[in-house]
Amino acid sequence: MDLLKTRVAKRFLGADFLTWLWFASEQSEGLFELEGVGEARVMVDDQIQLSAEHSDARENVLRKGNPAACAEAGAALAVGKKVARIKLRIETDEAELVLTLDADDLDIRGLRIPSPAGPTTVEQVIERSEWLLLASSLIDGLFARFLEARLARDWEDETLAAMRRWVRVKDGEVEE
Amino acid sequence: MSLMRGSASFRRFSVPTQLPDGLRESLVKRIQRHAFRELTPEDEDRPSSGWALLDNPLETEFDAQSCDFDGTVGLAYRVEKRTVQPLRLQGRLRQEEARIRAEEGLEVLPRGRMRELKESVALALLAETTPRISICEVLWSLREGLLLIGSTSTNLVAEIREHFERSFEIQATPLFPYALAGRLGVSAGAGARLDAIGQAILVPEMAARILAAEEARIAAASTIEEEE
Repeated sequence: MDLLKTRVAKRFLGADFLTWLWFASEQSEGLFELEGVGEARVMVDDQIQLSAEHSDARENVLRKGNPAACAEAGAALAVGKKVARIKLRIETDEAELVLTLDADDLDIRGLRIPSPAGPTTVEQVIERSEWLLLASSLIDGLFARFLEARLARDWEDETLAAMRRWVRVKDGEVEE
Repeated sequence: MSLMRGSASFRRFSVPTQLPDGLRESLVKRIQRHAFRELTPEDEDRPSSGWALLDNPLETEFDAQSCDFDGTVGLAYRVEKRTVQPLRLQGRLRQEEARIRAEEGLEVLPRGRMRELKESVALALLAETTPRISICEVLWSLREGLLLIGSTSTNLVAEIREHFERSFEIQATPLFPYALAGRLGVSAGAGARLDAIGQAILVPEMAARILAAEEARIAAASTIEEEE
């Protein structure tokens, strides 16, 4: 398969990843053990965008307050929508990062990291690059955890079953 | 669009960590060869673009210290373009047309002369215009084999990626999810499983609609690709 065809055929991986990440962040206090980084806590911040090609209204943009806990988010999941964009707060021993992640290209947007004051110096470029590379490693680490779960033999019986139940809880159909 | 200040937005690309022979030594020369060049009046409304210094994008003279930051190549991609606002063009054109008609006692200006007049007015206005500068920062971690382009605009990112590949003659692969799985070293067996999986259906009652929409999306994308 060429690159473009693969990109189109496997586009769902990004939305599946972000939806799993939201689900997984609500399990075991959002803690993830990430290779090369250590422990990271992931929380959904104040923006979630859900979308689906099959739905009459294709997009729900939920902003401000606590969208992860709102009824509209549950209703969108219950009609088969998945996360197209999500704002995350990621805490490690050394850093706290806030960023928005896109499903399609895993673009990182609005990454808040320390900003150097004054003219740019070599040290500042190096420091800032390290922050950007840390954010990149965190996303890689989380995506690797998703792949582990997605490619596991028990994906359907364990993770997918738990996610389906989570959707029904979010939609208020069943109790937690 | 900044990687160096404020909040950062960027798209990631995978580039080889094992560089072709001689590339590491010729980095500065290649950057200089593909550096930004000032617009000239002959450029008219064509843009000029190329590499500039990360810490001072108005400078385009490179040495190792100005672009290699401890194993990370930092560059600014600078684009300049002269543009004339359509309203301004229309206003000046009307003035010139009225002047010529009055001077030559004409009711209307013939279509051919009108076209020539429009071109000359546009050129005159372009020459008076200060070019608009835009800057996008780029970081290339040689150790990580990772290229960060400080924008999420599809067209600009594609333009910078092309300039990067032309400058260094190496490929930069966009890290969309499937490509990232490959970069993270999904093993041979797991790779085959990854190729075989379909999207997760979270609401089984909706499966038929979801899968039909997915098929339609893929078919539409194939049609567009064939047409291109």
